Amino acid sequence: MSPRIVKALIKKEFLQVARDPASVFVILVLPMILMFIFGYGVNLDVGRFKVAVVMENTDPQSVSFYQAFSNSRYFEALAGRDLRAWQDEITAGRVRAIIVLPADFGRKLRQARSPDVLVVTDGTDPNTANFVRAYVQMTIMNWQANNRLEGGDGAGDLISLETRAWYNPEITSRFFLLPGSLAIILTITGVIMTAMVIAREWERGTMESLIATPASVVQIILAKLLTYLTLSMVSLVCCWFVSVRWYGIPFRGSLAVLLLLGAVFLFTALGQGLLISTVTRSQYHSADLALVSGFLPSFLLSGVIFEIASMPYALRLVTRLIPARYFVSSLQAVFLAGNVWAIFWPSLLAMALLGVVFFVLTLRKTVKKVA
Amino acid sequence: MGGTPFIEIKNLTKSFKGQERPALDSLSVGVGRGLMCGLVGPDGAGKTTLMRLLLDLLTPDAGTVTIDGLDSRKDADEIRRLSGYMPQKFGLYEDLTVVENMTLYADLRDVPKAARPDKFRELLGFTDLGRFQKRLAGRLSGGMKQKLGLACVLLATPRLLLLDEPSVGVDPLSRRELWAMVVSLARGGMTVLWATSYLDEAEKCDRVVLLHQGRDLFHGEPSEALGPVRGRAYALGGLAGAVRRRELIKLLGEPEVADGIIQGGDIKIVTREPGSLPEVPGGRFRPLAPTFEDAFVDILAGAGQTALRGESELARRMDDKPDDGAVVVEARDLTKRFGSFTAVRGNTFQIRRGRIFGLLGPNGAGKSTTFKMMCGLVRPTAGTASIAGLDLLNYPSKARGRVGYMAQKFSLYDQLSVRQNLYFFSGAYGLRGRAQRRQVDLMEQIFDLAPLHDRGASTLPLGFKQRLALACAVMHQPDVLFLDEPTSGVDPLTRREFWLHINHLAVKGVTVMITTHFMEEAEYCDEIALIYRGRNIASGSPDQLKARAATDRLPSPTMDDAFIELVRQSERAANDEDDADAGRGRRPGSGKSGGPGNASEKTDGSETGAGPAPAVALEKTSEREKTVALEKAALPEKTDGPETLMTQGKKEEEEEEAAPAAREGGKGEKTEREKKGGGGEK
Repeated sequence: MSPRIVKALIKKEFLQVARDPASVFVILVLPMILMFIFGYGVNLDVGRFKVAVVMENTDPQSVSFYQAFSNSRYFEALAGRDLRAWQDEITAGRVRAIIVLPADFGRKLRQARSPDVLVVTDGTDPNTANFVRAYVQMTIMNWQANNRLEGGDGAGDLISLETRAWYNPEITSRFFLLPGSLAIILTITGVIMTAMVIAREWERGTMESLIATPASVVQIILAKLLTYLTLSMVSLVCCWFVSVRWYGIPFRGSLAVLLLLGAVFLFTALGQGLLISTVTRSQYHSADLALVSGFLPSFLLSGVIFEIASMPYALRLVTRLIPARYFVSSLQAVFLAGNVWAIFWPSLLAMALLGVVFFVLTLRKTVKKVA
Repeated sequence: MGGTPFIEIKNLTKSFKGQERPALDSLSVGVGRGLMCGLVGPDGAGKTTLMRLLLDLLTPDAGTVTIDGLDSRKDADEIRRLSGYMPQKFGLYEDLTVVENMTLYADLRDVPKAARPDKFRELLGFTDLGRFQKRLAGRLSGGMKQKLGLACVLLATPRLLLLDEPSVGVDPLSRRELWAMVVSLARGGMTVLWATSYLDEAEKCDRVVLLHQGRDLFHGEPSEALGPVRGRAYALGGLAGAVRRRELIKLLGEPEVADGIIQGGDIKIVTREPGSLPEVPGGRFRPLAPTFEDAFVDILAGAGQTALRGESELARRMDDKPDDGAVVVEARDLTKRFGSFTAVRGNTFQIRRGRIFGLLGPNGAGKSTTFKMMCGLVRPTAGTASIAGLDLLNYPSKARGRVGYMAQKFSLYDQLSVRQNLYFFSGAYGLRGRAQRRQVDLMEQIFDLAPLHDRGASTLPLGFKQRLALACAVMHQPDVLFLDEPTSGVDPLTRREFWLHINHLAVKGVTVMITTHFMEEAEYCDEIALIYRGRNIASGSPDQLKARAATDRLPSPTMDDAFIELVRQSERAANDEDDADAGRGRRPGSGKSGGPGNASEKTDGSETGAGPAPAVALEKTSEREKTVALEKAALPEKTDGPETLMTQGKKEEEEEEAAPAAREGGKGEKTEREKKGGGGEK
């Protein structure tokens, strides 16, 4: 197997990419657009929620509790006296939650007994409801803690709960979204572009010309892979740079590890793209299939947007077949936590395994034949 | 001959899924070393399948191929190394330049760096692509692309050259240039396999393998094939337009006549026995030299396949449109500009009722644009087009309702059944209810489609597809029939059946307009307009055009010759104009076409592809009167099946896309640029 042929083919690939504005767009511009969307457009942080705090009794404890909410940067607190008055408001979506402090709230606290607090959220939007509930809980605990510090009444630790968001103390969603989005971006350059460019060779008849020369299928494919691996790595480095410099994402791991993770992920992604184009041999169908089997799962099932742990069991099993899933958790770790090999090793192994499966399937499918 | 043939094919069989017949059916053929062998047959005959099997791009079901003692399966790598293959589709990278493509193939084929400059210079000279080295291959014209493909294949001086229909969809001028290239470059014992559906190309080969439906109907020297039809071909001349059509219909009903076609003002017949002629009152038969096509039809008849004869049932059932001599189709100063580029300029013609009118011209000359304007699909920049007195601008749908349109490659809905296609098209032309049902039933009966009416259109054999496409175009009894390359790639029998209908329809008063690359079809026309660079450069009857093109060297040119000669005349005239036009002119004949063997006088060649002038081409051809040893073998044949269908579909798309690109890029501004560049170089 002569390197001359692979070299000639790689040269050809680069010439083609350089001449094709669409390729340049996908490799350099599209990642920036996606990062922009993930950086600014997709924001899972909630702004200021409007909540109603219903105080059935205006004792100092209740008022202090209310103040905890009205001072919070997460809430715009409205004071109320009667739950019933707010029911319509929550139905209409004008307030996100109603927090009801019963008449005995202050008394129980003073007696060092646990008061009951009712939190009503709008369950029609479960995602927001969960957020609100979490924020409310956090606020209540902060309030308790403050009370304790100030040594005010009822300062006993009636509920001792502590939350701490490590690595992302602000819980800024951008911090985990952007590193995760690199998986989506590399899926696009890896799977979709590879699938399209190889299908294009079949469609335009150039593949038939190539395989009638001494070039072997392995060489033809190798040249494609090396080219697109290189280009995708360029994409990755660009994205890394922009994440850290522009979006201010902390990067606690090492670049070498990031590149290693990227290379292994791309190995799988390119394998998937290759398999798709080998099966379809048409750009149209390749794009279709790459979108459905590459982009969408990496978007929906990789854990970037939706927490895998909260998916139904069956779906959780499916995510194990999605290479992006492993890449996402590694990316979040390498950016926010550092070189956590306990996360990297299993991920690298899983991705490599999936990649090998794709390549074996492809090789079994591609014999040097035109039909 | 003698000894082992260079290519030896034994009992080669290949079937494709979903195909009724194998694509190749136990084919056995041998081809001697150093011969130019024509692989001839209609689309679906098995030509591409055979080439792919030779290179192990497909796996045979049975049989063996040996090339120079190498087994095609076991020694595939070695065979690929010694051969050059030019697939039917343009196999080069459109986004690489001419030289980049050549360099890639030189690298892949390991052409030594030291040998490259000479080799490149030689090939660029021969292809006349020297001036376009930096042009992207995708922006070359069809003919030039083929020449570049050939150049890339010839870079490594292969010992076996496989060319899969290099001349398909290429105009006669470029076809001849390609042929000349192969003949002069394939030297030194190179064995050439040239696949083509043009039967006239077969006659020029050393050996011919005639493939039909996966079997070989004939293999040997072309002259051998002509033997049985010698003395049986005659021309009956001097008949006026409609008369000769009626006469042909009558002659095809005579028992003495085996085959008949129209050739300009003549009717050409092949009799069953030499010398036994039918009685034609007042008619005089002249003996003719038979062509390979006559031989093909004769061989098919020997194999039990004959064309439909006599009257066309379809035409018989059509309403008579009395010949009132009215102008049915009229184009006046039809002009179309795309940006700064003029695709069609000032085209004017009239077609009277019951006449057949042909639009001919090289690729990208403006034929299709003219055609589309006549159908109301493209809006003219200036000028008017009218059908039956209805202006297409003002009454587009009414005018279109009078037209039946049969697009290239029978554009049917593949996913619909035969009957659904018939219902759809008749509905689209406004037939409803009982009238529609009656017409659909009638078409199914006339064309024997009834037994097939539930089959998907894509699964029909080519001949039936053609019938169905014709049926779809005529159900609404149109006054005018537009045919866009209606028979390209079909076998001669299918073409004859088609023309039987068209002729008879014309007799019934249907007016026909046709575009074609096949000169056989041009011969059926009453009048032809030759379009070149958007301009109508010559019009008249086929005989008039031939007479205009007659030169001392070629006193009785064929339609092909006439086409080429007239295009060249027009170029010379254009050059003279340029010359007079002092500033940017270039002197005629001063083309700096430095390449060896290049006698081009063309100035830009961007559209027909300048190259060795045709005259040169002819000389070269005759030079090579080598022996082709087609060792006996039988090449059975078969449709390529789904593959063919897909390829066709794509080809069509590509042509559609390529056409404007070639026109816009190839001709327009580039021409200007090149002229300037060319002038500078001088």
